[in-house]
Amino acid sequence: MIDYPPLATDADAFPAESDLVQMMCRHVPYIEQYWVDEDDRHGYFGTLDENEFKPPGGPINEMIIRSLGDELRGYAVLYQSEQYDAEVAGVDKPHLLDRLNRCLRWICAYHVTGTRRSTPFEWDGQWGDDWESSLWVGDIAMAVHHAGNALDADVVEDFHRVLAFEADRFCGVDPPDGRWIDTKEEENAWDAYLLAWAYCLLPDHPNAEEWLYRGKLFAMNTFTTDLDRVDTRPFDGRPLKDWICTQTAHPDLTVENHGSFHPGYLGCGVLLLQGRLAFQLTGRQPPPHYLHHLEEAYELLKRFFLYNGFTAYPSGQDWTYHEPDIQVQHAVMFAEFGDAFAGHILWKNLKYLDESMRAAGDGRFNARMPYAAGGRYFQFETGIMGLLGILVIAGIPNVATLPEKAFRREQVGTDAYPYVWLQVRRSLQGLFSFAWRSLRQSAMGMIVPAGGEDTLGSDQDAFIGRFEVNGERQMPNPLYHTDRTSDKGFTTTGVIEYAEGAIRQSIAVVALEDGETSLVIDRTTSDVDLSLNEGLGIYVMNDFVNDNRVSISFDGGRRTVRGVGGKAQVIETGSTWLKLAGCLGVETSGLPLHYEDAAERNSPEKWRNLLQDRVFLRPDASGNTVRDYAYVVRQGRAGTHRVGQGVERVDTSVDGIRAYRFKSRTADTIAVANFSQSTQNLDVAGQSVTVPPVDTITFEI
Amino acid sequence: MAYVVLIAEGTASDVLDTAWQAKSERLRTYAKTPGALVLYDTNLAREFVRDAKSDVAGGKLIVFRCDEPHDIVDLSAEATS
Repeated sequence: MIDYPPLATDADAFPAESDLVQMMCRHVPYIEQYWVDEDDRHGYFGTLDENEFKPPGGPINEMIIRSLGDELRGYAVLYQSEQYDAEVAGVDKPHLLDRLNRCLRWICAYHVTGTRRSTPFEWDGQWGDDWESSLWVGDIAMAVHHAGNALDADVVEDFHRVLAFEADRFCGVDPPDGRWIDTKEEENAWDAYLLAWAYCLLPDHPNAEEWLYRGKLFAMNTFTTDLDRVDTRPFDGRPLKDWICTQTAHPDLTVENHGSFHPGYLGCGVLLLQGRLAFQLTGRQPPPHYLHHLEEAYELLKRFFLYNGFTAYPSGQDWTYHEPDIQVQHAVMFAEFGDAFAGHILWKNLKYLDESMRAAGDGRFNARMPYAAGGRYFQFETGIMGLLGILVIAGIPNVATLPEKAFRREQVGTDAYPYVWLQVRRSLQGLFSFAWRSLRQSAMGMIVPAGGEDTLGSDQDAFIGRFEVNGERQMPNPLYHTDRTSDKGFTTTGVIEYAEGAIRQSIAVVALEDGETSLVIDRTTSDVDLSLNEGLGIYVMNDFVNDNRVSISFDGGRRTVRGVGGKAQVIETGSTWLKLAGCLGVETSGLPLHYEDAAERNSPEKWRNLLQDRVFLRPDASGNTVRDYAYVVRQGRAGTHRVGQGVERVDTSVDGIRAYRFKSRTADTIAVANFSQSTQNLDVAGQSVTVPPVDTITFEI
Repeated sequence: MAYVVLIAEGTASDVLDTAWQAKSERLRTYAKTPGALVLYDTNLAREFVRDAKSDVAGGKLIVFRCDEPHDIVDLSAEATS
């Protein structure tokens, strides 16, 4: 293990180019171990043996070519940088240039316009004209441009052949469309990115003007809503609506990918900025088309930023959790658009990257990423090299952190996103959300208390729990729900079916306006025997991100739970309340809480490179009622101190009604959930109330 | 999801079929029958549309886009069992 000296993150100059280059130099010995000489003029990083891909599977062309483009962007930056540290990198600059020449030559030789073929490339042994090859070629174009005249002439000529071919694919082609489940936003962005670089590097090509036009068209059709299709304001010589042939986002600009709302894809405006960079680096004025809705999309994305630089995924995450988010978009938003928030996020993530590299101690950027010579794990690692490269090429601005209070104050507010069935409360005490549609078409909640950003995670059964029949997990089918949102809080009440209606879960979620207290009521009936019934579900990241340990306390006990490398066990607390990491408290209406202490990385399901523990309940059935409880969660340090004051069922003797008394930050509060299909008028704790069908009210007493 | 729907009449139908045979490896095809083709909308699908349009020398080719099928009646498994 290499003991890298930490970067001087306390210095005013951080982050400077020297900091970024230093981290890239650390990475060089790691990636060099994967270099393969094909012959004395061709070579590549990684493997062509699919059996070595981790995790197994494709898409093959992407895994190979995208990874190489990322590494080469980094190598081009290192070759040109005066900050290059050959001692850390272990190789000299001529070695870097040799890698650039031979690898670029290799990439072009295996393109569909080239002469070589090999397994496992997908198109009869070649790559190119792929769904995503615009992205890879755009990335490589940036490397070629940055390496400049240093490259061998034949390499540049080969690359220009590839670049022109990929750009010509879009001559006469209109952007594809897609809004629900699978937005076309990121795809149109990367095609616009490629076309910008093709035009700027080959301005004398016979098709250059067509590339410029198609680039503008694809950029305009990156973030589009139905309002764009009726927008008659003049834009570059025609009504704006005449540039638009798609609707890639909902009217509130939320975008769906991989099944539902995915904040990561709100960030794909970065590809437009990388296209815009082509114009800027070649002395041209970037077309305004490359900024269409970009600022609005970033504003929306910011609503999901957390103070420590992470992004919250309230509808689930199917990429890896909390990769260092060092996109150049943050730098541009800070430097060109004066967005201090963006600067904060970039600063935090560069510091996090330094810490992650020092934890890995072997040149990997992500200490949680398994070793791999190919496949996604390999690509994730190389991707960071590429992102650092872009930051240096674009120029790293002098970003700084925001004071914690200023950051949290800016985030205060409650948002409803009706197209993706999501509500989010942001307060000084943190984030609380509930979504009736997740990436897996499940329902899920999320709670990230202030001060717990590096510890509280989530997954796609959080708050609703798990049911199994004969050992088989039952998939939820949300039927209907009623949402109410105020400036400071929300309620949502609805029904989820499982097992084709044999299990019926009525659930109410209340985010009080005190910003600290939330309540979940769960009443579930089942007509089938359940082999597993685990309610609640609060996920706890217990990994490198939180120093691999979490402190919990409960009635009669206190533990420090180890993350990776610990002993897998369920801690049966016997307590109806639990405090977690000093910033989250959970308290039930009577059931004891259990803490599932995992020992191996388990999240997300596909990548398993983050360990998450889980707090859950094991309710006992009573007849066909398998759940009938409520729990309160309190967030923030002060909220945690208030845990232990009880959650009490209030008897109403009305079928379909559940009422609970609990303390908010300011007063005793009662929540009344009506799970029936009709309006209910009743007395609760001496007060007459009316509750609409499938709805929840709260009042203070 | 969004789809591109191509309907061809007359000689355009043969052109559509031939073009699809040549490119089907790159396309995500939802449904295909003589004179009709439904593709998942991607940049590759739009390249295909461009090429098919340029190949048509007679008949009629209509290109729609749609969000999702309104209804599906699928008895194909019963018919072959």
